[in-house]
Amino acid sequence: MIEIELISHSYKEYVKNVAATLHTEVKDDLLVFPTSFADGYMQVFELPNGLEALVADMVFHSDALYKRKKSADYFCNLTFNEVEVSGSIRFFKDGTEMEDKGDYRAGVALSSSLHDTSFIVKADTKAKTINFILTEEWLKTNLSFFDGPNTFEASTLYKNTLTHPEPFDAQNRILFDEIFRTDRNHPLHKMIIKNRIMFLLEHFLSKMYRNIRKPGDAVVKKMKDADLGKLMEIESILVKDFSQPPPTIVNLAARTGMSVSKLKTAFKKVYNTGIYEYYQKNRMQKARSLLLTGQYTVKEVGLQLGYTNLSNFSLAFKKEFGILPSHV
Amino acid sequence: MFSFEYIHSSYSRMMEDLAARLNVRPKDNWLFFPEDIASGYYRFLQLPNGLDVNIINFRMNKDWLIHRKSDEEEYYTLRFDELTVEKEISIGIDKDVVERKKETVAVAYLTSSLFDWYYHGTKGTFFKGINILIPKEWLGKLMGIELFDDILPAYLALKSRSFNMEPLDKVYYELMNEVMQEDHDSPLPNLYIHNRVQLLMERFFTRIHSRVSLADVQSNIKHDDIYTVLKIEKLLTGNFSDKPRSIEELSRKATMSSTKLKKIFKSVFGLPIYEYYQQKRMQRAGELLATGKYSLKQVAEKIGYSNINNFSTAFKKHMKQDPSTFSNTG
Repeated sequence: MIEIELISHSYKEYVKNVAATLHTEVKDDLLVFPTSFADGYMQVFELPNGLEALVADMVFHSDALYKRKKSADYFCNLTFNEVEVSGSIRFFKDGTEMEDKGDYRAGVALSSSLHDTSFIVKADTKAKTINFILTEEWLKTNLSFFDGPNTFEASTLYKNTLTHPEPFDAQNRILFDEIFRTDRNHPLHKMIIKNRIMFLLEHFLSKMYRNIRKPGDAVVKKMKDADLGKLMEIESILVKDFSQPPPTIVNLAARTGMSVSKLKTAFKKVYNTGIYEYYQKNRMQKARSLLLTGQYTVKEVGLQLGYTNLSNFSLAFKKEFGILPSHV
Repeated sequence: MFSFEYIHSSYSRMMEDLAARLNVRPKDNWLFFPEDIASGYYRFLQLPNGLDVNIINFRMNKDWLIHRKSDEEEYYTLRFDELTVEKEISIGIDKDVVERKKETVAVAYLTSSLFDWYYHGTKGTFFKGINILIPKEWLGKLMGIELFDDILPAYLALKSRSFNMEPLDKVYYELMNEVMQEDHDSPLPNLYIHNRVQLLMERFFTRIHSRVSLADVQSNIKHDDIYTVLKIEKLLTGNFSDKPRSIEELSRKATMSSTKLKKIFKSVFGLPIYEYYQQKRMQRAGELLATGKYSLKQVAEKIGYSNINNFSTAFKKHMKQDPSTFSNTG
């Protein structure tokens, strides 16, 4: 098992430390993992607002222990992740262990330096993550509503999200996928990635703000863990491949072991929209981002998204965005 | 008539000048016009990444002229402007002028400080705009896009074809409106505006990139191949003091067959690989000579000629001039 510890507040430092642990090197803030540890990479992006984001896309080949000790200076770790779990993930918070046996997670997690935190991931786990370190100083200067560590600790929305992430909403999902889908050969790819990262952060912070002003129960509280895990899985199936028609609701319900009506209600509770609406919204967003690359014709995009009839595609697109795809 | 002329690579200084000209005092970088001149405001902000942004929203109550004079310092202005013209307006860039009457001109475009730029309009024009001042190095460095150096000049050269303005569509409008709408309640007003301005920029540059790069290359070469060839070009022209790399080596680096590489290289750069190399090499010699710091012999060595006569002949062939006279003119 490989042990990785987060000591500094800087991901640039962190990546260097990880590279040293793995006996490899960092080049232009990019660390390509040795295959003995994982297939994939992690990369630091410096954001214009002074933060760093750490982006990783990897398949573990070894078990790994990630550690972070509590510290006197307060900071938060914000993580957006999508993980296909092999076996289980074991979490430790100040010595207390929690095991997540769910095989799929896609959501937002917030943890802070007030606690010793660590987790163990098993080999064959697939993970895509986007991470931020929000220091107290940064929070103070950038958020009008930040009033010391209690501000975030009091928020109900992100309590215990390390073990039970707040599921992605449609906005998170779109941005998250675009970050990993951006073509690294595009000369503007860094800007495109940074912009998506900034929008993820903005979306998170506004949601946090609304939650603090008007606390409501976190979605995760309304539902059993097992059900939530299944919903996250359904969500990932819906957005995976738009060239194929989506599975029927009956089919999806069968996968989750829920009844059709329970699935519909539960999905709506977590994602604030119906199952097919969610699918269609993401499908149109994908259409738009493909068109914006300027590399595909309307027809090609329509076909990639499973529309054999172009006028159906155009109408659906217009319904979502108010303009025809040819005008993007 | 109200007229305002400026040369500025800083919008905060421009606002100071405008305030002095109007005899008003800006508040928190908001400048409200005196009613006899215009109704509305002009706002300045600086993004955390260091870029200056102007937000413009007013109706002119007089005939008007805003004129940025050309400057030796090179920087760019990215403009998202919506002009609702009651009578007429003329828009000038360098020596090109476009006139529009009684219509809405809603466009996104990039101008360079190397050229004069102006709006000359009649009373009653509504002007809404978001302008971003971009220093030359910025695009390359902060966005990490060296390749842009090749594309930007091509874009700017297109100015005479009706300025290469891009009409504002719904996506642009939405972003502009979001930037202009004041949300006093927002817990992160700066982040909110910044993110949207960044997205405006991203959208604009992505679109120029795909249009210009494709327009310049007539055949249907794949994007990936163009980037590969751009990389090969950098490799080829990165160093002239050693012998040029062989086509075999280059095609290995490009993971393309040599036939394919030659063909794509020629359609992207307009010349066969070695002719292109030689041309760049002589241009480099010319640059070195023009500095006046090096002797003919030193320049010849730097670009890989051991024999001065061979160098002079080659130089003359490409630059139609003797290298010795070239250095004196610089």
